[in-house]
Amino acid sequence: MKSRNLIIKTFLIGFILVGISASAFNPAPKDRYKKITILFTNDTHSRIEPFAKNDKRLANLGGYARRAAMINQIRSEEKNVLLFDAGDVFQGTPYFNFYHGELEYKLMSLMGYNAITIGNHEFDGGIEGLNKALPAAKFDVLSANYDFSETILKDKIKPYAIYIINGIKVGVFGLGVALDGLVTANNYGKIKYLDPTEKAAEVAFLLKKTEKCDLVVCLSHLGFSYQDKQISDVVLAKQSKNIDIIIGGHTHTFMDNPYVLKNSDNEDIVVAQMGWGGTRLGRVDFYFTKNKLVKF
Amino acid sequence: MTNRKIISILLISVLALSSACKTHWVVLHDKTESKVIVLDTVNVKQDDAQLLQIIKPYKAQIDSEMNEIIAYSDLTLYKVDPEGLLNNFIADLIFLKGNEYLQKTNNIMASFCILNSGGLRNDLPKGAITLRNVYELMPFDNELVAIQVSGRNVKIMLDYIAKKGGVPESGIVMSIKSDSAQHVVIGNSPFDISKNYTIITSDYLAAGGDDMSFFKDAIATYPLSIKVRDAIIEYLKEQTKLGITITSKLDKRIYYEK
Repeated sequence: MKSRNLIIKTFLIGFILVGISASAFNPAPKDRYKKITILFTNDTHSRIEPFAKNDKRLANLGGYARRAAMINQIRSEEKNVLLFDAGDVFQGTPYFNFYHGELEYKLMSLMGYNAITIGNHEFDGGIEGLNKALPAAKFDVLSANYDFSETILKDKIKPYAIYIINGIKVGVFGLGVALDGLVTANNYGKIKYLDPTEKAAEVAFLLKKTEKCDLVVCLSHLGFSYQDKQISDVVLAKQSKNIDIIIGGHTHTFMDNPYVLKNSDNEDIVVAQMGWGGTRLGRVDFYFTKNKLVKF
Repeated sequence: MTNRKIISILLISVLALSSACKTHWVVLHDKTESKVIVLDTVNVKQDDAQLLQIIKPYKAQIDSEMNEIIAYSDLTLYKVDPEGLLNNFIADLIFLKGNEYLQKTNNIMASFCILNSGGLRNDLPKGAITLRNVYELMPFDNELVAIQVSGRNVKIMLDYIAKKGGVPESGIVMSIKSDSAQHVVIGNSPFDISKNYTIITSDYLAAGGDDMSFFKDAIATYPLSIKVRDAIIEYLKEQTKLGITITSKLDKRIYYEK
């Protein structure tokens, strides 16, 4: 009896000591905390060059070469950067009428984009047009709620992708806006639009719980918010679980700062959009800590 | 409990603990930092040389075709809903050009023209207007059409316009009161629900684009085989040829009732 107690005590003390030493002698802070930087754009609309100097609202802003310079500068300061776009890369200047999106994708590949989702204007040249430009895209094109299985885009567009950066597992998925009544039927052909709320819940669960991603990013072309009840980033954010940030597009919304809302579990979710025309670059830095022992 | 049991429980615990530490990183939401970086010449002193070099030949080709000045404007034409200088200017000229083509091909005239606000993609600047400006205003390859629809569908359209808070239009005078169209005059006569109306619009909208579902069951469709953009270019060039500097004004064609 006595000896058993002693053994238990020894183990318990040893166990506590191991616990203490593990936290007290954690080598460097960088192993306890990690940081990743997420950069993003939306609705860049073929604005290869900056807006003209006589533009009423956006004079001299944007341009691909300027965006690239800013991204390079951030990459020189931060080692762990992911770069995304929330759709409508296509259409808006003669560059699209002349080169049909290929130049945009080529330049975005050089900037090191990791993934983009599809906006309604990606179909302005029809499914064929998008398919033709895709080989220039050396990044993932993601959509979880467009079903391409009966089109030539089958297997070229994935619902989600997972990136491991600085040891952090980041799950990313895309959501597109309803096509009927927005895109001419001939241009989207046999693409099936699936309910974005259901798809978001399903894919976010898969990424966070099954794939055990540390961070889940939603690239959305649903639009920031509307006067009526239609699905938007704000509506989605509030009823969501398992999503940490929605990078949005479509409504060309300018905001002074990304919003932080509460999801249905009362956890923070960032909702951001960068106006349009590539005049702004969004930046969100996430910090991570090792899973708290409390849970164990 | 035997010692062996205790040891195994503790071993399992330690293993579980170590594996949890290895795989899971938790976001510290309260530490998240976010910002908007404006891409202006203050924040970026020097554009990326590699990209500039790649863009160069593409830009050269576009400049050579797109820098042509085709008209001059007295003022900046920009979009405002329900009524704006750009809305009126474009809708008026599309109505005019559309009717010109419709008369040539079918010898009939339309009663009004409607477009969609989202379809006007940029302002037209004051001073010289280049082809590039028109491409940026109307980048789409949509074509003009005339469609004939029932008065009943026009009524749905009028309330759609009211709910949207106005669209670029020409030939209709109306007010908006709590999402419905009031005091509607088309041409010179009050709107008559028992009449059919012929409308100039784009093939995109005629096919139900921008939720214009009331156009889907048109009585007749007359394709006009000219792009909306080309109709604008044609009009601007004609004005310049006549020595006319373009202008626009507001005339209270759509307004909110107080």
